[in-house]
Amino acid sequence: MNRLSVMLLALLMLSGCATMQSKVADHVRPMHAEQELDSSELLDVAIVIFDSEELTDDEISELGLSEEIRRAEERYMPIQLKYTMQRTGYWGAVRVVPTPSKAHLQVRGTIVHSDGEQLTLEIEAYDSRNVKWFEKSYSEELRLSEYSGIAPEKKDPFQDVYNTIANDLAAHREELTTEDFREIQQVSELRAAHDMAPDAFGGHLEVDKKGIYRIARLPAESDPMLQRVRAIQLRDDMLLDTINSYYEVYYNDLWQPYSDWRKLYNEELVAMKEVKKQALTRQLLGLAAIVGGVAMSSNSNVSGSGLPGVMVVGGAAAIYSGFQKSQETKIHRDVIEELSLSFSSEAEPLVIEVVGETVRLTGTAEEKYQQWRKMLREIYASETGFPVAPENSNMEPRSNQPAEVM
Amino acid sequence: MRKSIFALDSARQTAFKELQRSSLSQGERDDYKDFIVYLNTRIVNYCMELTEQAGEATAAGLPCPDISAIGTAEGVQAPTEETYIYLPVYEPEETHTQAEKTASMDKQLFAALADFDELLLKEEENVSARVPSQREAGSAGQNGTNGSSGASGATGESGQGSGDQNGSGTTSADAGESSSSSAQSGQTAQDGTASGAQSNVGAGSADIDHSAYGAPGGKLPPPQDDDIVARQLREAAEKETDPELKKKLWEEYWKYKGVKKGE
Repeated sequence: MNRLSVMLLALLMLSGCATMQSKVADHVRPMHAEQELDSSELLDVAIVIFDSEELTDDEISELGLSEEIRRAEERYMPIQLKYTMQRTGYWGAVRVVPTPSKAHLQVRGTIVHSDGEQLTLEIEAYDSRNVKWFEKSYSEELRLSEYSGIAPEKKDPFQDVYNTIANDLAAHREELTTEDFREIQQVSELRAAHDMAPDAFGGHLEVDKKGIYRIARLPAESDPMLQRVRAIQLRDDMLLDTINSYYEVYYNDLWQPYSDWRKLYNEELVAMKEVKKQALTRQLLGLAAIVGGVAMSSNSNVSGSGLPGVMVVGGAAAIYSGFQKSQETKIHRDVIEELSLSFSSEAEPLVIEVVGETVRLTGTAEEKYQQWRKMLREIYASETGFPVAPENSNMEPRSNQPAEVM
Repeated sequence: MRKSIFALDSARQTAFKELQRSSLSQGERDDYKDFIVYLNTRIVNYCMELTEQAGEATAAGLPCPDISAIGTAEGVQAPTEETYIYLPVYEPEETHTQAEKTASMDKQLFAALADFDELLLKEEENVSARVPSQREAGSAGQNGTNGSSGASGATGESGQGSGDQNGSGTTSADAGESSSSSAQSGQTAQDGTASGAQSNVGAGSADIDHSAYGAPGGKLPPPQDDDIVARQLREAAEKETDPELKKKLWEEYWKYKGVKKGE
């Protein structure tokens, strides 16, 4: 009985580990919509630039990883996911956004670990109502053969990870009802409307204790203020499209050096691990031979023969050879460090450039949005005769959602 | 008639942009002002014709001035350069109803949105201008492991362009009436200066079938025969990318030439 309990506990622990590190399957086939979907079923997706966990000392010193590489990956990976999702036919506009937005669906990711051999991402997805779709971890360890046939946009070495994420999102989307689609789209629009014209759209949404948005009432389709807000929202979409054009240029610039770095890094890492394994095996065998030789020499039956001495000498030679072998790992580590430094120096200016362009554009746009908010308030006051209310009616939910900008 | 108004307004905005260039000589500035005055006159005439035929509601969304106010404006306030665009030539605020004030504020809002469209249009042009050079650089440096793929980002390699705009459908053409006309003019404004246009008649318009736009005998008269207004109308028509607006501008050109002949 006790044995059974221990086995069950072990199984539970194993399954727990599997959830935390959900390794993706090999050769994951991407799901595709069987037919063109109606626009009422298309949700626009905003993939926020990924976050990343702080690098450990081991990752920096042993694996040669750097913050510069992480900054590059934080922008590269969401773009790869965007391309993957765009091909499925399940979604409306899929955009990479610099900060959280009020899109129909928002995808956020954290890079837990990434090198040329292994990728672990944590992904969470929320819709505009603030309903969490899922929060999952995705992990893949590559074989060198998976670097063959890679192509920009279409096939990343870790494409199985991206396909699995896209499939999970599509599967969740399939569970939505027609009412869900409508509500998600309406809430998204009303949140944007409230952000631009809080006076006019103050009472249309409610936020419950869990931070979930619910529609209290809908504006008339012919509401001129709604038309104005839609015109502004269109500009916001156009701005994001422009920012995405810059991201795409960045992705294309980064593709070749990043692919080269990952492949060479992976080769060196595999070689280093092999050398380490060989060195350890030799040292262990050598140690075993010495211990065996010493033990035999103390045994009166065999002490007269030369075997113990041979074993001790052979063991020492094996340990020495193992030591020399372990020296080779240093060469590989140096190569890895050199590769990473070289890639960092290529990636860093690209990151600086795309971040600069994004900040410039969003800064310009935010100034415009402030002007337009002011104009909308004045128009609303002129239309209704109501005095302009003070600008403090913020209705962001009290949840784990970060503060949002339009 | 609505298309003609949009076409003339597009040409007017292009001319206004040219007028803002600091490198223009005084003579060129005067020419542009004359041209804008001419365009204003034509727009007002069309707007009046339209409202007479189909009522004031038909002018909604058009860049028409407040026609009722024009008659009372004489001698009260001289229009500035800025008032040539969108805003009525004269706005006696005290006589405006609340609805008129709101309409005026609406116009200002949509004019601001149109400015933003043009800004984004320029950004898109900047991005798309980068991509071909990257392709060239990429084909040269593709094989190198750490080749000269453009650390600065000014050059670099690339497999694909950024032409795909995510299927979002958010082009400036969709951005509403008021913005679409300005986006058009924004495009024309990008193409270069208007003042040196005599020389680009041959090269720039070689592939245009002028006969389709009513040129007698299918041939344009020599540019030397054009006065300032005709020349600028011709340039505006040549630069216009929207086929319908282009057609309307050519019609305006020939109308203008016809008036000249009759004089």
